[in-house]
Amino acid sequence: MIGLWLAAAMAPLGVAGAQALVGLAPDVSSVPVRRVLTWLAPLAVLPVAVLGLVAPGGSAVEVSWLLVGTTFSLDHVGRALLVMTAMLYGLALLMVARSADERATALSGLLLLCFTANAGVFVAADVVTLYLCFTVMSLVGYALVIHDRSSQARRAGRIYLILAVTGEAAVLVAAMLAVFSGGLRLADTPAAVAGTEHTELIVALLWVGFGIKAGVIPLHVWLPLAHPAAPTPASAVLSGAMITAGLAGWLRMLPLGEVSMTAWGLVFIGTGLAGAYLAVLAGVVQRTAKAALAYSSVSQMGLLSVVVGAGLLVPDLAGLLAATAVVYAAHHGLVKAALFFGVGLWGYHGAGPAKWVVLAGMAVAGLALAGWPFTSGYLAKYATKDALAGITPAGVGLDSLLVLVGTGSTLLVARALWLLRDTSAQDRRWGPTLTGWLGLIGSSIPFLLWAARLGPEVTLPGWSDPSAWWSQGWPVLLGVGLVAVVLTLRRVPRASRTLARPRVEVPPGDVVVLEERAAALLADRVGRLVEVLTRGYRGAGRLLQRIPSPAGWVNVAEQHLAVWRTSGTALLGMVAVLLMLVWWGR
Amino acid sequence: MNETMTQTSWIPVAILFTSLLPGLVIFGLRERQIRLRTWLNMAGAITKVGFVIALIPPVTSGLRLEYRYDLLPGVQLLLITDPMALLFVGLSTLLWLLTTIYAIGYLEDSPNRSRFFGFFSLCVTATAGIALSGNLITFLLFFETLTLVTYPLVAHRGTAEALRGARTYLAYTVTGGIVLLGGVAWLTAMVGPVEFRARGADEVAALATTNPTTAVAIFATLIAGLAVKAALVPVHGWLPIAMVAPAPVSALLHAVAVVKAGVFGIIRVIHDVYGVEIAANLGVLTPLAVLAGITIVYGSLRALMQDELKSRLAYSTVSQLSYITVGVSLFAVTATTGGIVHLVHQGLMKVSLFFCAGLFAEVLGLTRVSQLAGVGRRMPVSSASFTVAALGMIGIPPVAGFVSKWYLGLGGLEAGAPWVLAVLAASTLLNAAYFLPVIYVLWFKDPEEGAPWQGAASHLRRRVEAPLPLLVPAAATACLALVAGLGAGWAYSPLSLAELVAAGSYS
Repeated sequence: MIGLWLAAAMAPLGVAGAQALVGLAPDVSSVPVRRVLTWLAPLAVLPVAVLGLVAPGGSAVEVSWLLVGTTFSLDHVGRALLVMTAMLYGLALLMVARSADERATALSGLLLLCFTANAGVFVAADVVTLYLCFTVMSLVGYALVIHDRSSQARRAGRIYLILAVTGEAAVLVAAMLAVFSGGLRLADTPAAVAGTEHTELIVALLWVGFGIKAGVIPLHVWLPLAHPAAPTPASAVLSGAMITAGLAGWLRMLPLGEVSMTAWGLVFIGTGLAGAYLAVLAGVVQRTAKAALAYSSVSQMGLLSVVVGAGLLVPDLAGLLAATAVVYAAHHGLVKAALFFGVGLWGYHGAGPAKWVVLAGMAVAGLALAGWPFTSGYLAKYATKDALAGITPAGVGLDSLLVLVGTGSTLLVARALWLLRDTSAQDRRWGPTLTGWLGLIGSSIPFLLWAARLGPEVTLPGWSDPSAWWSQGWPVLLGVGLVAVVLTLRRVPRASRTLARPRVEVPPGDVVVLEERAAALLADRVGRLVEVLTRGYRGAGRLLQRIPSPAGWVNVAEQHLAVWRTSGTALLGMVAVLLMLVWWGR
Repeated sequence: MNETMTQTSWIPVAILFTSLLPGLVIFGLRERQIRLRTWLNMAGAITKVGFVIALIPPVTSGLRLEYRYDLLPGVQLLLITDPMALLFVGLSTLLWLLTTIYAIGYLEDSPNRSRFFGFFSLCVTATAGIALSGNLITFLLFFETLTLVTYPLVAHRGTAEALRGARTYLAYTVTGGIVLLGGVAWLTAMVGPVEFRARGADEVAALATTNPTTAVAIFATLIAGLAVKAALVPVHGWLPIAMVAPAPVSALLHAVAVVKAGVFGIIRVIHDVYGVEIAANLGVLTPLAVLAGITIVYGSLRALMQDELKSRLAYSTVSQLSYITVGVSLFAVTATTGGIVHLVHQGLMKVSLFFCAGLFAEVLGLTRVSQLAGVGRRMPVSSASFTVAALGMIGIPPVAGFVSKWYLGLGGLEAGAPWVLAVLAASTLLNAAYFLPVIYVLWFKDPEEGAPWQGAASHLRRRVEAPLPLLVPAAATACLALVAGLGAGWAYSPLSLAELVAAGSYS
């Protein structure tokens, strides 16, 4: 087993390291080597996938010399997310290898580094390792976001980095508090966090630290900017796998199943519900497909935040809720990444006959996202609603509060598909990326059935249960109906004009625009304050100079002393003689 | 740890002579005798490394070598090799070797090299002397020697600016030295000569019980004297001015020689003169820790405002040094470990940063952060080294700085001072705010129009981006910073040694 763990860590790191070395010699002679390495990169994720699929439960490694003692282990949470991550990064790396990006090697290497850290988050067995992997993943994510070097990407990157570093600091402090409370091993962390006097503070820090990554409202502002700004393969893993790392952090470190935390449970649920629905409103008026999909991620992570909040509310159900969240997140990661990949594939194939394949694939992935029967979403959404059904914090079951999220997803996917029309497209030959992508979508159901059997038994719907079909299907039908209404309205001239130029415009990142303005204003004010203070400081300095200087007196004294110079030499000589006498006398 | 065994040995003296002798000989060399000078420098540095490596197994197993010599009745020169001395002498020896290589490359074809390398060797001798000092008098002797022999290095260029910087340096450090002398004299007058002992000297413990007020006053005097070199606010002002020195001097100054002498003195005073428990009972530790906490945040804020790369690094040193001071002035073994290990970690990272700043200045003539746009393409190894070291300063795992920060944070909690976490978090954010933009500019910003390294023009690039004597030390120290973090759990890592030292301070 050790060999497999070693291969899982060393294969991606080794290839990335080789790519970095080759990058030192960027002349023509290294081009073939670089091509080989970019094509090798997708294979480097295989050991991780194998590890996730075949390693026995509870398989663990400990590397005591690494950092302050590093441990990894594989449980049901890590296993499902690990395999999902390997699939997404594998396809992303394949897409990079096929792309015409002139800096493909750099992108490939960064993705591999990010992959290792991302996978590490899911299999970390102690708090330090989790923090290590989470931080490395976040920082490498920055390089992915600004890979295109456009001014948009730079702005997105700046906002991403500010929030990522803030989140990193929050997680660090939470991690220190948790370890100090005796929760070094992740297996002990929830109990330790529950048992300390700092529980509230730790939960608050975790909500911020991991919530930023998970795109919880109001910490989501970087997400609709950064996910679309990154190159498509990176967008896919950002929205599919990296976002899930935030959820994993919550599941590992929050005191789930240990104590009932009503206030914090309601915070998670409240912000989650707000995110689930507000993101739809912001998303349907976006101008690019990837931005609409990014808002869909905010919406879906809102749903997961509700599940986590329910676990804080009802400790008895926390185990089941956590397992459900993992299954849902694995499904969402796969499907959302498929949609992002689809946007990129449309760019490659949208002008040729293969565009129908791309459209069909995206439609299937979209329906899965919305929870339509006979898709992975059908299973995942049903399981989630079933787990939430008994929990009624406001007199209404949480499951019924989330019913319309499916409608929202339908609208967002429709919006994204609609916006594809304006995207420039090529007519490339059918390639391995397209095949791999279809494989990814096709594997979603078997993958989900496998993932659902790993942990505590989650309730899956029967395939031939009309009532389940209806309960899962009607929100989607409602969404389709709304889309149909909008499409019909487009034929009405006046409505069409309003639709073409909506009064309300929501820029990607919504409130971040206001926050940027506020920050600029604040920076300006602080700058002025500093200026005033500096002026005051200089003025004080000038005042001090006016105080009569003692230099004159010192000079006079020194002149008097100078007379002693000769005698001083004599004195030194005497001291030397005395010292020698002392020496001899010992 | 086994019972400590003491054994008289000439090895501590030999360690001093490995740099003292070459230094004295070099003074007598003519400017053109480059080969002999280089040979002397390298032989001395490598011999010293050999001695230190030979010391590691006996010292970690509990053997204490010492060398006593009566200078005057009651004034004894005492050199010892306890784990703390080993840690510091090891750091200074390793970095001296690398800095010597760097300096040889850096000063190629510049005037007054014999003078430079002569004082350079004396500077290292004094630092090693400080590390090996076994009592306060010996410490003071080498501490003052260091002040004086560093002056010609800071003033080396001889420009008006260099002379002004060196004068400021001297004014601050000599004043600090006088205050320290006063403190040492006072303590010696009260209790007689004080030898460093883990958990404190017995005479001082007696003083602390019989006359706590005097004990507190002496402590304050000693720390005030040391604070100048340790660059605690408000006596940090000389450090950013002294960075007019040539890059290898700045590197050594900020990583091991002068500033570390101050911090090392603080460690000795708290842990080996007073003993951390007695100092905690006297109530002198919390004010010191708070002052250091203020320095951390203040230094970071000032660093944020500097565009000059070396100024930014200098203020960063002010901030990072106080990590050590905070750690050793908290009453918790984990915090002490964190403080002591940061002595090594900060040295590795900061020396690498200054080496890189020197590389950018020497190879491309760039000294401002805003000028560095796109340099990552022209000098990838230097930029990568800078990036690793800067990430370490922020405390990003797996670079060494994270390990320090982790132990300091846990130690703060252990000592019942959770405000340390807030300081660390604030400092992390501020460090990120002034280091990440540099990394961004290096790698992600497009070069300015007309910069010779813009575009994909790889044909412009030479086979190696910079002279190897400059490049190799920079990359090596960055690698060491990474390895010290990655391998922190290894039995002979700086962390393990620091744990050994810290364990000795607590019974």
